[in-house]
Amino acid sequence: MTIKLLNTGTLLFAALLAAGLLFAALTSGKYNQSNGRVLEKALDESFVVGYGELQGLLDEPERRVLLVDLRPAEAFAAGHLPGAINIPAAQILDQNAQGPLKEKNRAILLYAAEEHEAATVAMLLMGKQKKAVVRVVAGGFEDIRAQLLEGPLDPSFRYFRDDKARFDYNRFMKTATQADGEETAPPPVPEFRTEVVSVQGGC
Amino acid sequence: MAPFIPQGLVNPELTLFFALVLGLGFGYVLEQAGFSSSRKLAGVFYGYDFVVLRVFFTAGITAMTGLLFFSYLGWVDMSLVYINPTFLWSAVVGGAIMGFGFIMGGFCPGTSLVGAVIGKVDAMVFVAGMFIGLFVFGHFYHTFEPLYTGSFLGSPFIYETLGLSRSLFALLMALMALFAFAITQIIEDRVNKTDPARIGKRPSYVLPAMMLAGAMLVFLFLPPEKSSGLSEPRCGEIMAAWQQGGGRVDAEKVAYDIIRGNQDVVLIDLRPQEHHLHFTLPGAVNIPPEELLSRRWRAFFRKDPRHKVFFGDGTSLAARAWTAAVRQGYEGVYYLEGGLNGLFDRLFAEKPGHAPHGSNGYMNQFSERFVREARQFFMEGGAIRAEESRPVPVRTIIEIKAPDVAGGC
Repeated sequence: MTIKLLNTGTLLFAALLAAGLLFAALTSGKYNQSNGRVLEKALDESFVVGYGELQGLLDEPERRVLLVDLRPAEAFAAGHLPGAINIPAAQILDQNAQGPLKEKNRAILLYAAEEHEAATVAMLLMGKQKKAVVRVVAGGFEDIRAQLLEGPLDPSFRYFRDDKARFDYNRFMKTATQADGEETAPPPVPEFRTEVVSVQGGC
Repeated sequence: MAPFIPQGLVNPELTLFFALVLGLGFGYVLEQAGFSSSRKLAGVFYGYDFVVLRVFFTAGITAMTGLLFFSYLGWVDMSLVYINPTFLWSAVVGGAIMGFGFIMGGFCPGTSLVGAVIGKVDAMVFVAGMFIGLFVFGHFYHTFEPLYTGSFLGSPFIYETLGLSRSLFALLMALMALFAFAITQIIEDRVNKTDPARIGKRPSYVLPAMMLAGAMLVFLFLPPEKSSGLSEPRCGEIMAAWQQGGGRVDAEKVAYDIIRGNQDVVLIDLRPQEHHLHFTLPGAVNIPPEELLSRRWRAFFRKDPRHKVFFGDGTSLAARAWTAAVRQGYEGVYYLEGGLNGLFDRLFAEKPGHAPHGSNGYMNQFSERFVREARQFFMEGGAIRAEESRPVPVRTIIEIKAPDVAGGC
């Protein structure tokens, strides 16, 4: 290989590498953790903290979790979990608010007026903070207040989850699947109906 | 995104065609590198020509670098790349036999075919010997089978076994390759007693070597995959849209769409399949939330123009799915606030006068009237009629019958 060809090849390799890294750099900075990884964590069983576990965490002498109340300041002032800090959802992604959230060795536990609000914020926060362990408390603040702040925890609510069926849906709404009252697999929905048209042709 | 055939982007029936093309290319490259010569190939064992080591090390490093880079950019899905499984003892014994045959014959299987094709008699003899060996192996397979299939280790990666990260292993491999290139060149010069003047006229490989080492060092600090995609909106944009109520759909809207048979909306049931089979809303599609971002559903979310409404038993799971979908860049996605619990609570629970959020007196009356009518509609089997009335597109097949011909000689 001549010296010229070798140097050309080397420079081409360097140019390709630089172009690729530039391309990657253009799309970086939005998030520090991939969407797939965040969704995987959000779907994990441990993402939602039940009331039994929450009570245990609140009773610890040295808190291993940082409780964050996502509601507006007025709602926080009216009542909140002991030891919780208030960072309204609208501000939690701001640079100023990130300080307390970057405390090492403490998982972040979010709660809001509704569980799904805390879950959405938690996923966005996990996207920005790669190493943070972010979880949400089951239910909304009113559920938390009823279970933990106003008397002893009802054992039947220890593992409360928002996504559990509270109705036997079939009793109220019949669809084609359940029309005969039996649990059957839904008929495959055809993508199209085939119509054969016969024509006679040829010489 | 590669690999193309497992992803369904290239017809699997073209596998052999691509194998032919790649085989022709591989044979051409081997021949151009001089690997049809048994003397050149055997040189690695006698120290006078290390071209085999340099070529294959270069190929390995190039492929490794490319896969690392493409995997980081998301252009290759490494989980779909086939890795040969490891059977330890058959690899050891087979490798020893192959090495022994390589030294004796001066060829390996691939290069022997290259040599045979261009007419080299020693290569033809080697190929004949290879087929005899294949016949013997096949005929006595039952004897070899325990060794052949024993000590199966799966498809481990060496960096996992060594407890290293992929990037660190790649850096060490590149440094090892560069070191091997330098050492083998020194050995070659000593064995061949190369003239020092000639050595001095060789091009310097310092720059390419430093470039390679530098590239591997950069990879050391890159994460295994990119954390952001081009189509992903910024965090703040998602938060702002969510806070303005974007993405949320209430129970009455969904009930209205079902009653009207709205074709512009598709409901997505995120619950487990057994729950979906037991009951689901009319026309709902079941997508497990862990598959939401998979390639299987990508075309559906990007190209289907309909509005997609996620629902679960509650709101939390649907909200998480919505957040992931919006971040992925999918448009027209929403989630049912309250989920099925909320929908049934609104339509069927005995709570007269229950007002939806923020409604005034007039809207409250209108809303209550709608809820009463919707309740009656669903309890009388209106959902069944709504599902059956959905139009099914027609595919026409034209069958040409031969004409009836009478007559002849």
